Amino acid sequence: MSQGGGFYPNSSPFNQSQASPGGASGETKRTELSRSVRPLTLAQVNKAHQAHTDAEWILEGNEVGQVTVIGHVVDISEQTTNVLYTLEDGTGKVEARRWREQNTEEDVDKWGDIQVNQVIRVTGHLKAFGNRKYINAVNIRPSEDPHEIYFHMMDALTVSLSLHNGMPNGTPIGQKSPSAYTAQSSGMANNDMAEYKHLPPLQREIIRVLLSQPEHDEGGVHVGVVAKAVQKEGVTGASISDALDALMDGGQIFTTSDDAHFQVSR
Amino acid sequence: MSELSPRVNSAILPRFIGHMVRIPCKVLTTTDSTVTVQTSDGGEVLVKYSGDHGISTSYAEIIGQVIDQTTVKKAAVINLQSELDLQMVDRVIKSIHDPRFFSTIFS
Repeated sequence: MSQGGGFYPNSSPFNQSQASPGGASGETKRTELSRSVRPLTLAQVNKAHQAHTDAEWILEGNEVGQVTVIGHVVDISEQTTNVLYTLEDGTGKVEARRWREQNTEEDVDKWGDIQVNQVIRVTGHLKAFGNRKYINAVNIRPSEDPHEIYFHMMDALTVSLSLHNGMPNGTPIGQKSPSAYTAQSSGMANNDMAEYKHLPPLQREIIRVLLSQPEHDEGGVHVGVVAKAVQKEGVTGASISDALDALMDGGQIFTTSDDAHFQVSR
Repeated sequence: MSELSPRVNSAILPRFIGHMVRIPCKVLTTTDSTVTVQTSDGGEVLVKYSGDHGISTSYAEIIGQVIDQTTVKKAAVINLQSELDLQMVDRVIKSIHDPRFFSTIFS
């Protein structure tokens, strides 16, 4: 009995793509994670679980798509249809299985010559058979550089912490100092400031003050409030006005009700 | 717990007496039954072994059981190459043992 031509916001087929990208349980985020490759330690692989076969794998509340691990080969078990590598990395033990392909000559070329006591990187999907977990390997290669093991541990730690706490403020992923991350990610559990990292400190400070004021969405923040908040050694009235001018020129802020009220351009 | 063999330096080693650990290290001297190695934080550890020590490169990762604060009985060795940035390794080891991160890395 509908009138036809009506707009149904909730049942629109396009609703999913409009879901908030920042929402933790939004559909968009879920599918992105299922197509991503996540570095994990073997202990983390063993901690992941799935609700039932064919459901997604979950680790600490986040979905896990493909995984990549580094471990050293403790055992190789060759069977007719597949080869099973037992991997250990000091945090746990996991089996990685690769299915044999038809042509055995190509097999060796593609999969390298993996031997016991070699360190390898395996990328693949998590699978469970009965109550045992495996990694179904999509790619296996020997790890040539010994530093790769350490990089991988930090990579796994970084990604887990980032998913937990939000992106670190301005620090590019891949640096090997987690202490820098936690100091920043605990203070800034959102990525608002990431856009402003290229600005000088006083300007960043001003933006931060503007963002933190509850009224910043409406009338703007009075310049006196900003000045009081950024007041510290070496900051003068003139340097604050210069900074505000530079931010206006750059388009990061604009004046609202009058020349003395500012708001961040979002 | 039996699968656990965390990477350690000489300062963290004593926490794991009686357990398996991994020590990334630089090989200093070898004798018939022991190998002296330098850990990532500059400390020295004596590694006891029987048979062939199996170390063929200047840097290696020794996996073994901790006997006391400076002695380890080798179970296996992974040969790393002739170059390893032990300072970087030490920072990683300190991070993974940091109580904030330990439970993320290990189970």
